[in-house]
Amino acid sequence: MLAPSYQKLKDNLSKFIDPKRILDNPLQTLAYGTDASFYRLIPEIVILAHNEAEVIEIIKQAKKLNIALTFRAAGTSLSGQAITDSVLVVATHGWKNFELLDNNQKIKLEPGIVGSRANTFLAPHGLKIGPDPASINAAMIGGIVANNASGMCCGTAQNSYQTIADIRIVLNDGTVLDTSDAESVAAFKNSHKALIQEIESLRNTIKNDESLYHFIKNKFKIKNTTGYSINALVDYEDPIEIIKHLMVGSEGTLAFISNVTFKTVIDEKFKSCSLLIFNTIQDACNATILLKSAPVAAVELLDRDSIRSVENDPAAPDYFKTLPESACALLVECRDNTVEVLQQKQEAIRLQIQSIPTYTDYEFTSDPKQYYFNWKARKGLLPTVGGLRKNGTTVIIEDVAFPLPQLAEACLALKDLFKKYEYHDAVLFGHALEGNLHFVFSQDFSTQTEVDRYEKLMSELAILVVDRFNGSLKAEHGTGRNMAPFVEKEWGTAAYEIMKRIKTIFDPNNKINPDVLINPDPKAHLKNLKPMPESHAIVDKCMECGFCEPYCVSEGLTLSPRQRIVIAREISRLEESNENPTRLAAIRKDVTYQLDETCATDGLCALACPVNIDTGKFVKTWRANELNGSSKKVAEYIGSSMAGTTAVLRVGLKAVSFFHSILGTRIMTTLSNGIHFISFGKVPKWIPEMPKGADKIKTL
Amino acid sequence: MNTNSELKVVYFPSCINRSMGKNSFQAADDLQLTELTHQLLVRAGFTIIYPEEMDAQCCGMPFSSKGFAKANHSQSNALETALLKASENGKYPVLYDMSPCFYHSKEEFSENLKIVDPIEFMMDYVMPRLTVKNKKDTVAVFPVCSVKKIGKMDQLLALSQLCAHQVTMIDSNCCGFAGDRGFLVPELNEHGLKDLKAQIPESCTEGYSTSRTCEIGFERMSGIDFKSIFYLIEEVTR
Ligand SMILES: Cc1cc2nc3c(=O)[nH]c(=O)nc-3n(C[C@H](O)[C@H](O)[C@H](O)COP(=O)(O)OP(=O)(O)OC[C@H]3O[C@@H](n4cnc5c(N)ncnc54)[C@H](O)[C@@H]3O)c2cc1C
Ligand code: SF4
Repeated sequence: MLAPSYQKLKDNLSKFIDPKRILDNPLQTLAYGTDASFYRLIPEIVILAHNEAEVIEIIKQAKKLNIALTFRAAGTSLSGQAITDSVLVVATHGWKNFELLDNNQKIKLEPGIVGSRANTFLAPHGLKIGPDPASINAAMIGGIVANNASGMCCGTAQNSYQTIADIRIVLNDGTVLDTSDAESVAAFKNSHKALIQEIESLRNTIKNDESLYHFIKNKFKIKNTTGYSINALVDYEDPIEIIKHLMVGSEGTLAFISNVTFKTVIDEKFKSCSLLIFNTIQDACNATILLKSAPVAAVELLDRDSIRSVENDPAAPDYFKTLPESACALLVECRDNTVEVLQQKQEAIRLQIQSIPTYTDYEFTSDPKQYYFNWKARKGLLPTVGGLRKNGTTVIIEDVAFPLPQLAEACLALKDLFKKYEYHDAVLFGHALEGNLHFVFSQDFSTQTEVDRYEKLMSELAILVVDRFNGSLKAEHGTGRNMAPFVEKEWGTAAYEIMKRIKTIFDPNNKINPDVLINPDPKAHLKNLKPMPESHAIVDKCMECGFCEPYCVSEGLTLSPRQRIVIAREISRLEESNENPTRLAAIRKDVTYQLDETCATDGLCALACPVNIDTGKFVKTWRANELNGSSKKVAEYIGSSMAGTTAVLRVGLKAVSFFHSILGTRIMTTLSNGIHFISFGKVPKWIPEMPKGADKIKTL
Repeated sequence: MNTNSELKVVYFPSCINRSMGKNSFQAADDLQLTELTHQLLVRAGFTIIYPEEMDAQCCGMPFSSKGFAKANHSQSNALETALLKASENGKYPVLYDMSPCFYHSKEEFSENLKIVDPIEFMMDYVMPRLTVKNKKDTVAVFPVCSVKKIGKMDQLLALSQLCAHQVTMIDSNCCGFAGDRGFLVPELNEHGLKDLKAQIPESCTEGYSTSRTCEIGFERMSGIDFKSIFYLIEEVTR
């Protein structure tokens, strides 16, 4: 039962939005509520919004009822920013329009377009969008912009903040601001004078505080997604430009993004890379500093433990196994539109770092096999840790950045920290060129001791990153709930006050994704941790990353592979704990149709899954378990008398009977009751494409 | 006609193609797929061997996808035995006429047999022995899930481009027909192919694929004839 205000919201919105897209049953709210982070909140209502008019209505109605809203794109967020216990507005289905502008120099994209899809629109022109998170095959424009997501090549030069040309947003009062439309801008300036003044006053405050001004400038020299993109207030004068850039990295806490126009960037045709092994992390980091001024497209660091996790790959060189403990690799990528220049770049890189010895000689390669291995070594790190972790634990990906000169020292300090808290499976890797390091480890949250261990790690990490190295606690994954308690620590009181004012300007009632990014609770990062119960061997390693979703045919109709696993896990948990039989029954009520009957079991999801989970296979075992003994016997009988069955069919019965006789579960039950083949009435919908029976094959 | 006895192939017509004939989309003079395949193979100079007790054979997939693991294994084992015999212990290639069945057997069988998927067989064994005489203008093709899983999308495109000037590769996950699911839960097929019509060029009236049931789903959602790519090859090399 919904609380009265939520019921009212649902009733009111049902007049504007197809009620089938306003979900409040336990199965669907749980399924849609889950993102890739290790936090869980279950929304009261999930609304699958299809267009801006609907979003405006949702925002207005929710405001009237003082109900909080959270927006959602692909739900691949890692820091707890895409979840809520109130109303989740999913802007993915629908939101697929795009437009190439200004002779392909710009592309306008709606928030539900997957990042890699945007790139397929641009590929024929040799172009791409700037932001390139590793999750680009699943993450969508709305989330990419709202998180200021970035990856190995875009650095701080081609992220959303730098490449955004225009944005269209819906504010908390339902007003639309489209920065690409002069009329909209003029109308907005007129209707929202106070808001504009507030922005100007913030801008002036910073301008008049020289040390704050430079502090902000400095902090964004490396990747930083802790708190708001307040560099907008120092980089731009015009309040509309400031608003536009503040939206980048705002994590859905300021306004809804209806579309974004990016300046496109060149996607170079020729690529080569090399895996350089250095004797020490210091050497690798020193090389990185030198590479900063070399023509590199990417420099990725892999620590010794990272290399170890790929040393058994058939394509890995033998010496990987015998590398000294102190070794450290850099994957250096080179790109250009002509082969000649590509080679010149490779030479320039070699010259640039010749003063630093490498463990072995190195060559650049464009050979697909070797090139692929090198990148697999780098990209496979998360899955490796994810796949090796103990069931019931969560994979945690932390995401910090340090000023480049301190990178080596910081790496070693981080490694000491893992040792101190006994995170023995931790691996360290990242976008070295940006000083951005990820470390991945598995974490159990099922006992208080483990939660305490995590808490200690995090507080010490904050001290290490902020006090010792003046780095960013979140470089690219966004603040979310995970780093919200540490924003003030990282930024200091003055800058944090500015961030709080920004939130108030756009969301005075704190109803747009509350508790994310700005959160007064110092322990917010330890609350609402997601349970990861064991459920079934095929799916236990699932990280709930959502990479499978774009490859699933039933996603959007019923459930995606990730959502199927989430539901199976919750059923297992509830069965095990006996905690809430009513809830269990409510989920079970819809599960056959949602999880089982609408799964095509095609296994395409496994192609995208970092840990190779074939959810189709899982659903088949689910089916097998749900089948009762008698229908199983019928299947075996039909199997063993197949010749007779097909013969009968061919002669007399329609092919559909055949199908149902060997395939249809319901029909089997009928059969087992002694009734002969099925009637058409069992088929929900008859279709004219149904073929007739075939003629027997003449084998001579 | 080449009757070189060494050019032998074991043809395993899948149970679906054995029992499902033509439908209303197809021309009256179209052959049913099994017959058409027979003709095409003969035209390319192959001697065809059919597995014994063919009517009793099935790769087992329909059982597996329904959760009947045991029935699946016994069917699959029986087929493997029959194919081993027919191919003289793997001496001759075994042609499958449905990609999903091929994929299923690939997963289930041990490695003594040389089973070949429809695309590879046409590309590597059949096309080199035939001449394309009347290339089509425009066709649509769809790589079914198993084609994606074995990474044969490019080959499918290349094969269709041998037969038609303009090929539209349908961009969609799975068609959602999923064996018999399209009959039982038609909304899955509708959802899976909701963007289909927009992708098919006005002038295109024919679509090709390598799975009968998927083709039914495609016909249903596109309104144009979708059938096995074998038909396309047969027609342009006739
Ligand atoms: C395995 C893995 C690897 C990853 N690698 C990277 C990486 O290399 N680099 C990186 O930066 N990130 C990475 N991420 C994190 C994540 O994929 C990115 O942050 C991504 O941009 C999130 O996009 P999404 O579409 O999933 O958004 P969601 O998770 O759905 O939402 C993200 C945020 O955007 C807000 N939002 C969504 N849509 C709108 C809208 N229309 N209007 C306003 N606000 C909106 C949400 O409220 C939320 O705060 C990775 C994640 C995983 C699971
Ligand atoms: S099944 Fe694989 S791809 Fe899907 S959410 Fe789980 S781990 Fe990610």
